[in-house]
Amino acid sequence: MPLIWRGMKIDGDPPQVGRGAQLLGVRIGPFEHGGDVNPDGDGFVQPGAGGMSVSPTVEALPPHRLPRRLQKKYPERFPDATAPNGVHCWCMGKGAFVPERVADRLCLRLDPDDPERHGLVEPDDRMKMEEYETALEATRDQWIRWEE
Amino acid sequence: MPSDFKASNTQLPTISYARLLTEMHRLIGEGKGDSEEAEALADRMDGPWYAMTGQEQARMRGLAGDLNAMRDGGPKRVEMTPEALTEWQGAMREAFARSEAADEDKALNFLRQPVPAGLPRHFIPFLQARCWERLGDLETALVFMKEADRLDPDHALSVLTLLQKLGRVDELPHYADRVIANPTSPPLELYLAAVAWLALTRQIGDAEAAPILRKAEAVLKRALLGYLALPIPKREESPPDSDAHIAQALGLILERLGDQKSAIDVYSEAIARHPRNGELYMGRGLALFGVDLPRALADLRAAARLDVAAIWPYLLLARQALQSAAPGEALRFALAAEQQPGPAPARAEVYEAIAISLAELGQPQERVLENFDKALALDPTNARIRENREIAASLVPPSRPGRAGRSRLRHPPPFKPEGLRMARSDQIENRKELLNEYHNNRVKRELVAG
Repeated sequence: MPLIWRGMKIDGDPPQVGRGAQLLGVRIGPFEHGGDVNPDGDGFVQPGAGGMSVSPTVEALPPHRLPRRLQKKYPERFPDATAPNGVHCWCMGKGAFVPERVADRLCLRLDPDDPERHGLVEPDDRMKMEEYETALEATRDQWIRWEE
Repeated sequence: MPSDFKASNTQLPTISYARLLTEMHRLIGEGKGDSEEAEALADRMDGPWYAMTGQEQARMRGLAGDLNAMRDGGPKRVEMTPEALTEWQGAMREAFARSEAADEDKALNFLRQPVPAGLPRHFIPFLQARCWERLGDLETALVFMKEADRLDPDHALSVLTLLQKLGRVDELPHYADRVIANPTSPPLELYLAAVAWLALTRQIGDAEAAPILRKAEAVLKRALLGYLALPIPKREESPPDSDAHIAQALGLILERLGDQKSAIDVYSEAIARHPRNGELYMGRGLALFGVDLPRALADLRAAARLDVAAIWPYLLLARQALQSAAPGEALRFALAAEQQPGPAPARAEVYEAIAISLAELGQPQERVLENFDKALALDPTNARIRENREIAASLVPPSRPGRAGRSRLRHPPPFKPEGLRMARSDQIENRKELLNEYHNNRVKRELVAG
């Protein structure tokens, strides 16, 4: 399973689940309005059409997804960290950042415009939106919070 | 999908991201970096981020780091041995030589490195601002220039310049007043501050603008006297003919204040110093138009002989020649006016003058109509040109060259110089852009060389 990183809020020990860019989940709606996935008229989502953003390393997370306390703690490594401090960096898996299964019913697809730094965790087959969200939520305990 | 950002946004992703980043920087600075507002802002940053290329993302990472560093007091400062300092200065000159060759990222990267402990603190943000300005992101440039100004109030003019380029007129008076209030402001800076005030009077009538114009008049007089009192080597630090530029702005302001005599005196004194400056003859010619027509026309002819790069002298001389029943001369001036820059309504009148001249010279009707059509394309609202085109179209072509149509085509009404003041203000604005650039480049050169 590929190693993936994502900035998310915490809920107890695991990441907080929900429909948000800083949560374990996806934003639903048209892409031009900031959605990550846009289910079809029957409420289905499918591979290759958007998913949850992840990065191959913690350094590859966008500045606005890196909590800004990292800039104070590691000024050389994260001079650009800008995100609110409620966010934590989480990782899951351990293999190469390649298009592969990441969990039950979920696959990693590399962003064709930026395959070395950005990927999307997508449904591995056509499925109902609720099933996709359940599959994402099911990874909750597999994420490891980076001990800063 | 985030990469669909490009399809649904007209703004470049780098510009969008930089705006959101500077907004985040502002929130963090106000102690709201963990607020819901900041979280919502971060959510909006995904779209532009994933629409950028790797190089653009690297530049934005650099910007995020620079904004963080700016809040913390700028790049790390280190004590350097004389040898290390010399090496650092050489590296900086090389980085900025690359910057001149449009490699701004190289210069920005250099500015992130540790700097000599003794370096004035305004140095880095000023140069960062110039890099962002050259990259075309004026808003980001303004953030850094305001920081440079906070650290060294002598940068007020540089902030003013950016505000003008951004069209942010509400903040202009504050910075213009600071430049004016500084007793050590050099003449060029005073000129630019006064012209900033002049820009604020664009949309208001001369009477309403009078208090501002009087203020600008006083500043320009101070600038002119200051410039003329400078020793020659010091004058050479300003662009050539700086006093002529100051005189033109001062003359225009005096005209707007209704003091034609003083305006003419200002132009005349400047012409005595710069007898080959066509713009000064043009200014005086326009100021003389309602006072002494023969002298006005003589000045406009002088301006035309000196190839002044403005449409007005040629157009007015063409119109005057038409009034004097000299279509050949009118055509010559109108064709010269056609080559000059000018606003669309004036260019329309140029083609109208060409059309009328051709008609009166008995030229083929199609050539006459072709020029009326060009005129109408430039200014479809000009009823006189439309009417003249209809008259010309209805004329029966003469059997031999002559003046068959002359009495029927309507000539433009007598010229009113005050109608040109807005356009002349625009010309001063355009020149101001060049002088601003000159000023900022000079400051940059001094910082890099020093």
